[in-house]
Amino acid sequence: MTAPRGRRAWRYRFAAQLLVMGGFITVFIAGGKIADALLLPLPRGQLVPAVIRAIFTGGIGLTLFLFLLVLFTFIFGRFYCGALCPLGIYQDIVRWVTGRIKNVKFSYRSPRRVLHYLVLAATVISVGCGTLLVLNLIEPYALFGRIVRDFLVPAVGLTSRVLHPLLKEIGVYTAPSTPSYTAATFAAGVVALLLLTWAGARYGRGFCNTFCPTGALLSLLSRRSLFRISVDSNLCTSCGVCEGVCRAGCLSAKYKRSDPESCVLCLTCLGSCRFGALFYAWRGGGKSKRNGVPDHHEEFPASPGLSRRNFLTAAGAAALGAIGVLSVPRKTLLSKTRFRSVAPDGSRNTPAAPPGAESIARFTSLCVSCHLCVSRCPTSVLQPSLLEYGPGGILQPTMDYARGFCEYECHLCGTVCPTGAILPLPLELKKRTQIGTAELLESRCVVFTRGTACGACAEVCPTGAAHMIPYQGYVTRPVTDDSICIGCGNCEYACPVPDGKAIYVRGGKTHSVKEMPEAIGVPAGPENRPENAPAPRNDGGENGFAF
Amino acid sequence: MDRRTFLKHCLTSGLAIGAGLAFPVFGRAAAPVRGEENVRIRSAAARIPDLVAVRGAEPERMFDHAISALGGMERFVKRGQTVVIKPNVSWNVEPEKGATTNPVLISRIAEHCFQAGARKVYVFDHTLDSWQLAYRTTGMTRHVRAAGAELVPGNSETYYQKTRVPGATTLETVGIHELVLESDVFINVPILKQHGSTLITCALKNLMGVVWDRNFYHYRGLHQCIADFPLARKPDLNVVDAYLVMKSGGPRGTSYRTVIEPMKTQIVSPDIVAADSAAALTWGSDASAVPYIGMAERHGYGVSDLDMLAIQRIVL
Repeated sequence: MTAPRGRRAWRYRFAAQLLVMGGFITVFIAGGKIADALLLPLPRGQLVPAVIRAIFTGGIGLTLFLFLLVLFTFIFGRFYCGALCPLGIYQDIVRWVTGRIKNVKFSYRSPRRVLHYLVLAATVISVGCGTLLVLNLIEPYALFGRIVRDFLVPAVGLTSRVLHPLLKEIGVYTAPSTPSYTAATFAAGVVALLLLTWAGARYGRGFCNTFCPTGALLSLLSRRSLFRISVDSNLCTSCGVCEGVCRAGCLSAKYKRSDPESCVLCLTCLGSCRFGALFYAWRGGGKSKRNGVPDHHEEFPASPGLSRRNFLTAAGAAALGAIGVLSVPRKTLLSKTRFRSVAPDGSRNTPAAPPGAESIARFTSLCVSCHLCVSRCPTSVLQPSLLEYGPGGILQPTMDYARGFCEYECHLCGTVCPTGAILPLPLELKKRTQIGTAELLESRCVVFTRGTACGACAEVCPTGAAHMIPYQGYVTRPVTDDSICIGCGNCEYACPVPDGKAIYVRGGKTHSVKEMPEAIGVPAGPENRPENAPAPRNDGGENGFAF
Repeated sequence: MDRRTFLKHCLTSGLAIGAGLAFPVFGRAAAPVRGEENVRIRSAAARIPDLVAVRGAEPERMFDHAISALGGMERFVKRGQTVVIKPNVSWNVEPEKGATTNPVLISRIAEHCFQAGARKVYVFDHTLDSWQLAYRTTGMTRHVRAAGAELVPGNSETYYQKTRVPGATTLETVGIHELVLESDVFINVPILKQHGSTLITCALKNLMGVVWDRNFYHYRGLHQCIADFPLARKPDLNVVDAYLVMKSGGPRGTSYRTVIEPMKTQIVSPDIVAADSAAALTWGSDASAVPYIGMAERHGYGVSDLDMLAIQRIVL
């Protein structure tokens, strides 16, 4: 009996997967230097974000990266699904855990190629129609990101809320993270996670080979991959052990073949074969390895409905559909977009997109709703939208000033965004980028309705757009200045009026950069440093504390 | 004995520097005075001033002089007690922007507390900007830790306890951070700034940072609520950081309306109303122009008429 080949291969794969998973979770939850360093290889190395970035931002490095990804998939098969996709990794972890509890046997499934490629076609068409919704719902990286933000982030937050009174008992004061989630999104996260866990345990990589658009695309590329899992038919006894462990359902013991189109290179089969009949090699290892036994390829059952002709027809139809839709002027499609934000006075409002989005139209056509920005936003102002951007923009993040305000000294969302939907504006530029303007509703404002001093809005305004001017006696009243308002929502968040604020941000469909007046009187330069300045002489005067 | 000598040194050096200067007292002409005689004694028994005003040095050094003039930190902090210090750290801005209390001053105050035998010194603020960012940018994290005090988050509702405010006009109940309620000593360290809706923000207004629901203040009457709060818990000591004073564009001070003047002044007093009254004057306005100071005085826990107080001035 030959020594089993690649007995340990799956362990290396699994170790690499755990590292990648740990990296993704660090990027989404922790932040810090390590997370910053991992941004480039992990979220930005994801296929769909990288494609979007390459199309709209360009860049030689990115193009080269995508070229290599395609080339390596041609050569090695779907290594991306096996090692880089966080959703795939999660399903493998589920498989590993459940496999230790109860070993569910998989079996060869005639691939549901038509369904899978139709999903891909539908995705492409919907993108052509100007909505990323279909893509965003099933794109694996985005799906993973939303599960992290809807489940893991709240879970961490809830744990800290439970722990912190206990910690306080031992004299450790902590602040539990501010809940940036709602019961509904948490429930959605739990449901998505349960579904995925169930599917992973029951069907292995069934999602990847049935619904995943990225998987479909990579299947196309790996149809004729040069390296693939093959069976030495002289050694194979068709015992079916490998078929039972194949989570992708691509191994057939009967036909002694693996199907590279479905194979996600988990390599589990290699170690499972007692006869060492399985190997991962160039085109199945060549004739010598097979001892002259002809390639079984021709005998491999054609999956129902998937002859090459069928596939070409489907792909052609998809391409035609996409071209047709793309040829419709984008403007007509977007102009139909109805924003559903509502101002406190009941009027229709435009939602605000994060600074760096440039315009709502641009943002909604680039954002894959991975919610990395939502997870990392320090003030929780970035929240998944519902219908604010219209039905086509469901889940894409919007500024929710009821939950937070856009921190003036922060541009994190732009620096983490993997698709370039939120551009990484330099902080200085972000501070001058107007994403909306504040509208004061005097009919609701405390100063006007009650005649008492308030000024909560002006107090927090970072640019001086909202400021107080004399009103009655010592009471001052707020006014806003659109020319320097950046729409950060500090005022809206701070406004104390219950049941609908007296000042709110009217989002801008298109963002613009404002010129800010020069600051006056802030000491700058060493000669103006206070320790070098003389103490004021106190010769009294009308007002002043005399020394 | 030491304290006395030190105090005399301060006064004489102050006098030496300010020798050429006249000493008008709060708009009224007053004859120059020498030594301790310029301390107006409110009660015959009190040898310790009600309020100390220092000018002309770095904040931490001014505090050294002020606290010894007030009888040393031992007067306020007894051995084994816990102390909570409330600076203004509301904003995510650098300390040189004059919007937040000087962090070195806070660490020096904490050191004095430890020297007096404090068991634990806590520092916190219920910030308006993100507390993590604000604590870090203002230098609070670094300096407070260096002094051995504990910097505590104030942005979690779970730490706030609903408290009745006896005798309040408007603010009948308020959620107060439990450290303020539980600590033996409460030290209030505001920074003096102009404020868009209350003219100035200082000691009384700084206490809005130990309550949870500030919207109640804004909605139900800002000035009255500010004046009501000390009825629930009055600080034992107020240290007004008037080193960099925001003359306009306050309280955040990041806009072009902001004007900052190095006043190099510090006002220290156990009387919060007196501290605010002197601070208002330092900023350039009579206390009567700030409604909450008058409202606070009517509650009877402090005196705004500086002529009624024993004030010691130290010029460094």
